[in-house]
Order: sequence, then C-alpha cells, then structure tokens
Amino acid sequence: MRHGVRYAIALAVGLLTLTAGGIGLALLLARVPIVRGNWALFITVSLLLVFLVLLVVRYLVLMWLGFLHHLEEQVAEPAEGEGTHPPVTIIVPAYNEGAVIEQAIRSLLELDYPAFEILVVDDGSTDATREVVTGLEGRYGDVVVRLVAKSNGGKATALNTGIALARHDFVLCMDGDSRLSRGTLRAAMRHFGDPRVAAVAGNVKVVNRNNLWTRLQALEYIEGLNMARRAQGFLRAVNIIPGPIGIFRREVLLQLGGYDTDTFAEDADLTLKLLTAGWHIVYEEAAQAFTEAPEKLLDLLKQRYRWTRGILQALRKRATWLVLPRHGLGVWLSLNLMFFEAIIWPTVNVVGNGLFAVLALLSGSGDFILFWWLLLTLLDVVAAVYTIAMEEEDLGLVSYAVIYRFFFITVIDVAKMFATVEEFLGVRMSWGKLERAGRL
Amino acid sequence: MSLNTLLSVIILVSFIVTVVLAVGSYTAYKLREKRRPRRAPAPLEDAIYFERYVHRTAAGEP
Repeated sequence: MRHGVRYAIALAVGLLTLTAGGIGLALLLARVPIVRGNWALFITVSLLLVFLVLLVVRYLVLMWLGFLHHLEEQVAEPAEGEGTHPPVTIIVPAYNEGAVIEQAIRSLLELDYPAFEILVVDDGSTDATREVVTGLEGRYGDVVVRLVAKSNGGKATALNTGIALARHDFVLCMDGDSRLSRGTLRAAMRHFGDPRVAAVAGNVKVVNRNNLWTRLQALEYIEGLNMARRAQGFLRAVNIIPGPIGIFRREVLLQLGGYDTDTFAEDADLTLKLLTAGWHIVYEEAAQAFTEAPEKLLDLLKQRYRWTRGILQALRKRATWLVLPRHGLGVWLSLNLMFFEAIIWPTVNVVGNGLFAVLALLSGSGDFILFWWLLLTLLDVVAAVYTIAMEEEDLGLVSYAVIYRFFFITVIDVAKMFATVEEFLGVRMSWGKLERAGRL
Repeated sequence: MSLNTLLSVIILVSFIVTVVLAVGSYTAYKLREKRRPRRAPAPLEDAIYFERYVHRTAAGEP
C-alpha cells in the first residue's frame, strides 16, 4: 500500500472518530438537565466526556490501524530482495552479565539465519563477563563470536562501539540480558528490501510471568506498547525501537552518529533521530525478544521514571517537530502520540477517574462509579482479548485486564506524573542498573 | 445499602488506596535512590575510546 494512502486512511479514521465523538458529546450534554445553567458542573462534565472520548478514540484508532497492519502482513507480497539474506552483526552490550552471558550467546547461536556474527561489547564489567565471553570467542559454522572490551560508559557508548566495529551492513542491537526468538532475523530482514526502511522494531515479550507485577507488565507490553507500535508500524513511523530488539542499516547509523548519550532513553532518542531524518521505521511482530521485567514495585517505578524522563529529553531535543509536519504526517503524528502518551495521558487518566468519583459523590449519584468502572474495564478487556488474540498469546492474561487501568496503570501514571514534574524542574538523576532475578 | 452502592464504594476506596499506594511507593523509590551510593561517572575520554581485548591464546599465553 502506498505511503500517501496510509496517511489518508489514518487521517480519515482519526477525523471520523473525533467527529462522531464530538457529536455524541454535544448530544449527551444537551440532554442532561442538571448541567443546564450550572457552569461549574457543565465544565466538569465536559472535561469528563472529553476524557472518555479521548480514551475511546485512542483505543479505536490504535486498534483499527493495528488491524490494517495485521491485514497488510497477512496479504503482503514478497518485497524486492526478500529471498536474500544479507549477513547481520548482533551487538550484545554487556555490563556485569557474567552470570547470564554464556546462556545468552548460546541462545543466539541457535538463531535460524544463514550468516551472522555476535559481537559482545563488554562495557567495563567488574565481574567475570569478559572471561566468560573470551572462552566463547571463535567460529561456530557460519557464525562468528567476537568480544570487544571498553571502559564503562553506558549502554549507548557500548552500542556505538559495536556499530563502529561491526563487519556487516545490518546490525541488531539488543540488551545483554534479553533472548531472541529463532526466527527473529529472518522475519525482520525481509523489510530491508524497501530502501526507505532504516530500522525494524521488534516485539518485546515479558518472560518472567511469575507474580502480579510481571503478569500485568506482560499484558501491558501486549495491550499497551505493542498495540501502539503495530499502529505506528502501519504508518511506517514507529516512535520507539525497543532497547531489547532493533535492527538497523549500519550505514544510516554511522551517518547519523549512532546513539546520543545526552538522554536517559537512548533507544527513543535514536528512533526520533531516524524519523526526523526522513527514514521509515517498521514493526515486525515475529521478531521477538524475551526480556525480564522488574519483579518488585520499586524497580518497576525506577524503570518507568527513567523511561518517562528519557522520552521527554528526546522530545525536547525536537520540540519544533511537534508543531508542524515537516517530514510527512506520519512522523508528526508519531511524535505527537509520543508526547500525548508521555505527558498528557497519565495526568488525564488519573485526574479523569478521580474527577468522576468526586462528581458522582457530590451530585448524589455514587452508584455511577460502578458503571464508570464497568465501562472502562470492559474497554480494557475487549482491547486485551483483541491484542492477545492477534499475537496468539496467553489468554489467561485477559483476567488481569480487570485491575489493569484502576490499579496498575494508576500506579504507573502517578510515577510518570512525578517524573514529568521533576524533568521540568531539572532534578538530577542517574542511570543505575535494574536488579534482575536471572530467570532467562 | 444496595449491591450497586456497595460495589461503588469498594471501587472508590480501591481507587483512593491505589493512588495513595502509588504516591507512597514513589516516595519510597526516591528515598531508596537517595540512600544508594552514587557511582562516579566515567571520564569522557575513557568513554570514547575502546580497546580490543586480545584473547590469551592469541597473545601467546598458555
């Protein structure tokens, strides 16, 4: 499908949904007798309805564009050069991964792809990482394992080192503690038949689904993150190539200077750098990375705090791009969606739910709280069933949709709100390393 | 108290408790981060250059 047609469809879906939502909202307000003549109540009810419309519009647009992406993948004809398999360098940045790095490399050796090299970049580890990888260096059939050691400088500098020393034209950047599905490279590389595609964003799965927090995150990755990524994939403008799995044209990365080290979300920053340079970024569902999600609440908050501030830092570097579409509507939409999800939506979500409860109590209609909860939960359950079915994932996760919005998302959104305030106040922050249980 | 009212109260209380828990957890996270010793950032020149690690057999070691 041509690019212009994609944008036209996206615009039509958005405009139609907004128009329908606006008309419905106006009709509803005109029929509520208690609102007439009471301006304070009118404004509050309007705000709540705007929240509700935003919520529904967001779901509908993402689900519809995601569905189009899914359809497109089902009926896609082989792209030019799809039968060829250009060699790939897999860059594994490792900092103190001594306990898991051998297993990680051995799982990469199992990948179903004709030719690739595994380049481990030891980022100044103080444990046995370097020694373990040294013992694995060498040739395994058509696959070569190499080690490069550098002093500690963070993940971005480790990846830049890997990009500089990669021997092939395509690089796969991942986390040292992630695993890839066997068909990852085969599925992702077919997209590079299109010369406008600079990168492919993969599908991240939570592997340690062993407690409430990690199961909720597993659902969030499918319903929240992947649903948005699939929709953006239809527009060829994915706005975050996830850290655990991104495949790039090496030449483009070298031209753009690789990863910058001035944000706390180097993956989001690089993605925006590619998009604003005019490159296309697609999403590949079958290119899967399995990652260990934080198992404790405080570790989860730490991760989300860093993500939020990092995304805001990456967006701030390109603030002018948010205002006018300079490289096509897709990029503009994608950047604004990022801004909306990072800043606007968390606040609207928490305040919207709180405001409804207050209004319901003040107007003596406390019973409506139940219907409000039922409505929003139903929406989440439908979205969960839809996205889980699309990914052929574990249907048992649907049950967690019942507490997804009013519990999990509220906790995450409150942390995002604080992170946003601290970012604007310029509060100092540090990287740190998330505690992993080593379950991969 | 009707079933609707009872369920509404449960949802409302759960929501308020969740918000309080969220704020409390965030405070706890910030306190934990404050207590942790900060790692000194690597000097910039160290971060830019890298060294090729030579395998001990390639270096002629036993």
